This record gives sequence, C-alpha cells and structure tokens, in this order.
Amino acid sequence: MQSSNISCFEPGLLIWGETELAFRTAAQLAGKHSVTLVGSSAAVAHGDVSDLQVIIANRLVRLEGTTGSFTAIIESDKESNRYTFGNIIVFPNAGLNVKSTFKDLFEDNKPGSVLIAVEDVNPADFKQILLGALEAMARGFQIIIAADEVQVAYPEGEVLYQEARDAGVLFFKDVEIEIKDNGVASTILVDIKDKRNNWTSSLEIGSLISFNGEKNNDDYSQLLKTLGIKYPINQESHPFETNVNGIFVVDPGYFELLTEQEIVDYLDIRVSKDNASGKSRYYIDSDLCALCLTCYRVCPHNAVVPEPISGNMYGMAMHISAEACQNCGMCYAECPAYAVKDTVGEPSLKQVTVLACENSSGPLLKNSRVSYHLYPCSGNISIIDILRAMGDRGGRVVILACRDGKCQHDYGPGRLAARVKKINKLLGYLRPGSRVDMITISAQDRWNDIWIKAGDGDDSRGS
Amino acid sequence: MIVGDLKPLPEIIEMIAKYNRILVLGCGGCVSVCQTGGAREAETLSQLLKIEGKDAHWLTTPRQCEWEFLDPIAEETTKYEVIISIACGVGIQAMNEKFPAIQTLPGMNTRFLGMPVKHGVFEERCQACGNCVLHLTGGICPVARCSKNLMNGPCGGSQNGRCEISPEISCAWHLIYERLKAIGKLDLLLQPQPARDWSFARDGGPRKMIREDLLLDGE
Repeated sequence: MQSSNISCFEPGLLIWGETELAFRTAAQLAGKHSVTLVGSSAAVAHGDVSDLQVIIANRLVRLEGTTGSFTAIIESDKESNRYTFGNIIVFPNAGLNVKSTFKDLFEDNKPGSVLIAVEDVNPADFKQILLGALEAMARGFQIIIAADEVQVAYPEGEVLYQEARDAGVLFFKDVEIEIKDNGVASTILVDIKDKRNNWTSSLEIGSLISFNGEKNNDDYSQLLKTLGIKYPINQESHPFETNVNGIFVVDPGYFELLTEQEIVDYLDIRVSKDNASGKSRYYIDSDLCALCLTCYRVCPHNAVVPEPISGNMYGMAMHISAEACQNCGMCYAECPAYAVKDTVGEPSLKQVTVLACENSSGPLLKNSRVSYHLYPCSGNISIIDILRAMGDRGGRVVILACRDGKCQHDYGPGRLAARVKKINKLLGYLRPGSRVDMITISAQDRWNDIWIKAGDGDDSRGS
Repeated sequence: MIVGDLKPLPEIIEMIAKYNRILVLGCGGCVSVCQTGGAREAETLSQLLKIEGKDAHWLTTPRQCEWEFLDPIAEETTKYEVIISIACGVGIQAMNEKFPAIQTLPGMNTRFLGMPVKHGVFEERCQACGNCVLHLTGGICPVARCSKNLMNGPCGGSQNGRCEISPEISCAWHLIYERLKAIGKLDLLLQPQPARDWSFARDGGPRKMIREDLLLDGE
C-alpha cells in the first residue's frame, strides 16, 4: 500500500459543508490530516469527533492563494478570522428535493397539466424529475417540461428520456418562462419564449413547479460562483475537480457510480499529495546533473528553470520551481543521470504487480487485493520502475493509467506508452514470460472489469 | 557531443554468453545526455540481463575518458568476469587500457558527433576533419552534412533542397547557398575551393594533439 510522508501536510484541509457526507468525510480524514469543518449552522456537527476542528460561520468572505497555501477569511456573527489551508473540499447541500415535490403534487390529487421549469440541475436530479414525470403521467397528469438542457449523462439516460417522450411528456428546450397570470383563475397563464428562434408560446396550465439548481440550492453554489470556481471539470477521469487546483466540490449528483466510501477514499488520496504543502516533492541534485535539459523539455508545467550558480563547471544548474511544480514526477522518471530526487524516497517495488496513476486508479485499487504502488502521474512510471516491480526473474506487470487526453499533466499516458512499447520489445528478446500490460481507465471503472480487460486468466493475482 | 545508441540486446547477450558475473558500466558524460549510456540505462540493462539469468550489476563513472575517473572503480572491476560498457568508444578503450586484466566489451555503438535538433532527434553535424571551413560556408559543414563531402557543391543530384541519397537529408550545399545569400556573402562561392588535404582527418592516420603549454612538469 502506498505510504506517504504525511509530515508534509501543514497546513491542513478545509471541509465546508453541512451534509452528513461532509461530516463523515471530515471524521474519516481527521485522523490522517489536520481537518477543519465549517458550516453555517450548528447542524454542521453530526456527532463528536476528536481531532476535528468545527467552526460555525456564516460566510467565506475571501479566498486567495494556490494549492498548498490558500488563505481564507471566514466570518461568523461575532468575528472574522483568517485561516490557511492546503486544500479545500466543498460539499453542497443535498439536491432539490425532487421526490418530495412530486409527493406533494400527488397528494394534492388534482390531475391536470403541470409545467415543470428546470434550470441548472445536475444529472441525478434531472433523472429524478423524469422519473417523477413518468409517475405523474401514469396518474393522469399532463407533464410539460421546459428545461435549459436535457441531461442524459447517467446510465440509461437516453432510454429514460425516450420513455418520457413516449409516455407523452412534452419537452421544451432552451426556453424562458414568464408567468403572465397567477392569481384569480384556477389555471396559470405562462409565456414560453424560445431565445434563439424568437417565438413565444402561451400556455394555460394547472400547476407550475420550478427546479432551479442555482437558486433553490444553498449558499454554496453562490459561493463558488462568486469565487469563480467552476465544476465539474473532466469528471470522468478526475471526479470533484474544479478549475482551481486544490479545491474540490463533492456534488454526489454527478457521481452515481461511486459509493460513499469510494468518494472518501478518493479524496483522501487527492489531498494527500505532497503539493498540499506548497513544496515540490522533487528536487535536482546539481552534482549529478549532466545538464541534458531533458527535465526542462519534458515538464508539462514549465517548472524547471536554469539557475545561475557557482560551484560547477557550467555556472548554472537546473532547478525545480515549487510554485509551478505540480509534482507529476515526469522529470524524475526521465532524468538519465538520476539527478532528480524524490523527497518521499524510493519505493520498494518487490512483489508489486500493479503500477498505477493515483488519479484514475486510487479508489479502485484500495478495494482490491493485489499489491500495487501509486504514482502521481502515469508519466512518472519509468522503465526502471517496471523492471524493479518485475523482479530479477521477470514476470508480468500491469499498469493502470488515465486515458490519453484526460491526463491532468497533459501527456503522461503518451510518454508511458512509448516506454511500455520499448520495454516490451526488449523483453521479447529474453526468455519468455515477461511483459507489461498498460490499461487506460477512468476513475469510475470497476476493478473486475479491468482485470477482464487485461485478458489475463491468471486469477491468482486478481481480487 | 558524441552520440551513440545501444547495441541490439540479442547481440549483447551473445557477447556475454560465456560469462555470468557481469558489470554494466555507464558514463555521466555525452551518453547520458543522449539518454543511451547514463545511470538509468546502465541499471536498465543490468536488470534485463538479470532476467536473462545473469548475475549483473551496474555502476557509472562521471566520464569514462579520464584515468582519474577510472581509478575509484579499480577494485570493483576485480569482482567481475567481464564488463559491458555503454560509454562511447573512447571510454570503452580507456577501460581496456586501464584495466587490462578484465575485458570491457562494447554495449554501445558510437555513431557520430552531433546534437539534438529536437528532443530525441539527434543529427550528425561534425566529422572531426581537422580543418574547419565553416567560415567559408556560412556555418554549414560540407564534410559532415554533404553526403559526398564536396568542397564545391552542389552536385547534380540535389533536388528541391534534398540530397539524392534520401529525401530526409537536406542538401548541405543548398543550405549553404541559402545561408550565404541571407548574409550577403555569395561572393564566397565564386572562389572555388582547392582539393582538400584530408591528412588532417582520419585519412591521415590516428591523430594526436599535444598542447605544449599544458604539459605538467616531469611529463
């Protein structure tokens, strides 16, 4: 199992949220990290956990900085305080209570036409709306859905959408709703405007329900919007990520396939990265550096810079800038002179069968029984790692990497693939039995599916 | 710098067929820069040989072409039956000369003097001909880059700026012409160069250079 040097983890982790999931996550991570849980009401603390600092506060007034050193000013009724955090995880409040809204509708028991206005909802809530609409149709309501976007990004999404249409649900897409008359009569007059094509339609309906992800929801959406934080980004390979490195938003509506424990495990791995400290995990020993410029050219983040120094014949040395370094470790994997060093130390790869990128494979492997080692990026998996894992008698090694094009360090899988091709060719010259299989996955794949993909009938190493 | 690449693995294995305890010796100089013979490659080769059943180990020297850098590994060399060096031909020979009791075999084919025109792509630029004429050719070498070593090119095989040997090779004299034109020195081409004296190059026999001003007392 991966063991990292957690002494790098000052400052700590901010978890902002009032849901049970937020609390359980904070409680689990509090043992390993220095966690502060913040919410706007006393409801934030669903229990008592030692090692967990809980703050009741109204507002996050300001947020600055970068991963490893975010400065947050948090305000409550009485005071305003400044804190520093390495990473931030936000848990928005639970969804739109779609089910209870439909429940109320059914209890009123006045079948008629219902216009459902849908704006800014996540796929899970949209699915609930469609299911509610189907049930309403079965009970004799006529459902009309006016949505900014029809969401089908969940399992069987297209099927459900078709089913709703087949059942007679009417859909308007990309329209605006204006209520013309809501008062006296038993019906409501509504104008539906198509923004692009410039037409307006008037409807007379029995009831109007509105689901607005932005407005109905909690402070958090507003908060994130104010701070310029966008999500979800690249959700297939990197769940919970936002456009700001080090800030995560856990909106379970987007992640039907992950269990709660998988979510917590994944977050644990993500905030355990050493750049939480603002320091770079890697550094260059200038005594060994041949100034071949490989690290300089390969770094996807332009974090390697030549620095003038005295004391060597070149008058300069290559240096890794901690501000720019994202700790992917590609420089480490490619330095021909072993001049790039890892502060975490070299792993022992004896008996390790699976080498994996932690971004795609972390939570997956936690529940498996194989022995594995995680890397910050698949680009950090070198031929030497592969050979060390293979051992002196050779054997099979499996590598799990993000899909090409999904790597958060741009081209890790591409560089790894070239190395795998080279090493397999060389292994082909030796006595048979040694090879490397590289499998690309996304964070939501299941372990058994991967093993089947590898085509390896050797279950003795599987889970 | 010196550019080389590893010998094919089957050839290396054949070379050491009779031996079991082997040292793979890398070099921190040019071959590290061209990613063929540095520490990482030395360890890689030794691991591959282990998988093949050999008792293989690895080391590197800062460079293999200085006696003083070889002194520290003197004792180590006695522990092996044979050494495979992945330094350039100079280092391999230095090893054999310094440690005659043990064979140092070549794990590397030294190719040329060149540079990475882009990362991973190395091109020949110099053939150490001993009499540099780059001032007459706008900085482009007619010995290393012209397939026929012409002193007054181009030949009739030059087409669209490419050499008749291969479309991947630029015609050096085309490049020379364009360059001299750009710097306004085309008049240099009006001066035909006489037949070259190749005795300064390898054709004159193995070469030696003595710097009287550097000799230490007593040597």
